[in-house]
Amino acid sequence: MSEIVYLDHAATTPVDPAVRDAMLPYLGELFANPSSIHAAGRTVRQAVSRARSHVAELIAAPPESVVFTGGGTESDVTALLGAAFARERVGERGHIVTSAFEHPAVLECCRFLETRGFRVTYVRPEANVVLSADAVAEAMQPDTFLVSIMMVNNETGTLQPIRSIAAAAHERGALMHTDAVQALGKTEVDVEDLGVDLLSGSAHKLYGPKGVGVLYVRPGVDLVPIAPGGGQERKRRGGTENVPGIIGFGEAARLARVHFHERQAHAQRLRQELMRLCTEVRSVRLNGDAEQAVPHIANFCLVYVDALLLVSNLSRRGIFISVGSACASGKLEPSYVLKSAGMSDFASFTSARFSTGKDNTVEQVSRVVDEVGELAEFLRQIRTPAEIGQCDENCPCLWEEGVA
Amino acid sequence: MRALVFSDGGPESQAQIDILHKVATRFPDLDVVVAPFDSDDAIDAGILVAPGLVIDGVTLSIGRALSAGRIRRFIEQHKPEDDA
Ligand SMILES: Cc1ncc(COP(=O)(O)O)c(C=O)c1O
Repeated sequence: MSEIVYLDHAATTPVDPAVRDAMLPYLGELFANPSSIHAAGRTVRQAVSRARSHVAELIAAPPESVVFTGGGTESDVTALLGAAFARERVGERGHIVTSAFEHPAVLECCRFLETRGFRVTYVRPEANVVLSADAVAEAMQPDTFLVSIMMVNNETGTLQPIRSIAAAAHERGALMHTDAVQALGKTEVDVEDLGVDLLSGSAHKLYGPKGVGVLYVRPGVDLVPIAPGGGQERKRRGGTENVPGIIGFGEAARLARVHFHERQAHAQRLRQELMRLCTEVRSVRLNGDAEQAVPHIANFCLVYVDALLLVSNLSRRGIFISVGSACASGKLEPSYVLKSAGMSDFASFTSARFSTGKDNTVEQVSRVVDEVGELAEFLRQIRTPAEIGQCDENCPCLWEEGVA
Repeated sequence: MRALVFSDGGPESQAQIDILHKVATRFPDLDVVVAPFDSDDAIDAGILVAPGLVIDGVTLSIGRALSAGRIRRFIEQHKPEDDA
């Protein structure tokens, strides 16, 4: 097989060798429990504290507001259930506003809370997969106590107007949570500037290890801990800390800050190259928004190209990308993200996500564009428009007839 | 040529197998192999749903049976020169 080109960094990133080196001593001689009062425990506690400062700096927050968790999903769950259970504790329920294209980590929490008597409004984005802040504000009700909107959509890379939404939430006395898992290290994240009360992140999206995340909790926010345990993390999250993971996250966050501008510029260059797909390959368009997006994620609709076949055949050539459609009970389901923006099932089945990383080169992306172009032509012969279907008239990506 | 069908034993998978056997009567060099859709080979090919069809390393279908006409066309276009 030819050289591997990994363009699935929105799914996960490789652990940076510097991050791995920082973690290794904590899998060896520095194994003590940070809660222990002896010298060995104290050494580890200090290292955890340094890592906390690095993560705090990445989001411009005070270190004491940073809670380490077991990943992005757990951060979301801790925020949503924690805020909802705080309402229950005082005998109330209430209303939550979220979007229809959140990560399942948030959506499943909302569905669970609906079974406990909470009400949830799922706001749909515009056709460019960006929410209108006004639409979110209009969805709020007198008893809305929480608004949870992701900062960057994981499938299309679109940036959401968090600052305006947070202002609207606060105007009505609601807490503002944002899932910033795809945003950390990819765009400026400043909890004060955004005005958020709760913010989730995950180490493995920024060259850190899997299974460690962060929840920023603005001082004074009332959250019921989901796992109170031994009172670690200022009683926000019990359980002995995942020390190697936290150290790795700290180093990954530090590197993300130090190299922020250089990585941004590189991601922009790669995106420029990737955008050749729209000009040089027949009938390809960008899903989402060309401007209001992070540079490292791009989702394209390749009309009449079965995206699963594209992923499979690219994979055989050593190129790794992904699709938003998912397999559910033996059936292929369209991407709920693209669907939420009004795209037809057919647009979804012909859309694929390319997400670049700091170690990709322009030459690699150029090769991907060429190979996608070649495969797209081939795959258009395999399925006819009649087999793959047509966009319905409301689909924003409506293609002219006779492309294939 | 080697046609690998990943089957879950359901009617759509069976339809794909039947189509391939029919096509193989026209192309005796076509070797039809049936494998479970949750095998390592299927995972390698990114086959999430059955049936999956891979001919000579090219994934041609995932999740539904590919018609005899399409398979024939692919074979005719990709047959090694000396068989043509
Ligand atoms: C937007 C978003 N939120 C949450 C998560 C879950 O994070 P983790 O995998 O760390 O649980 C992901 C991961 O894909 C994500 O993209």
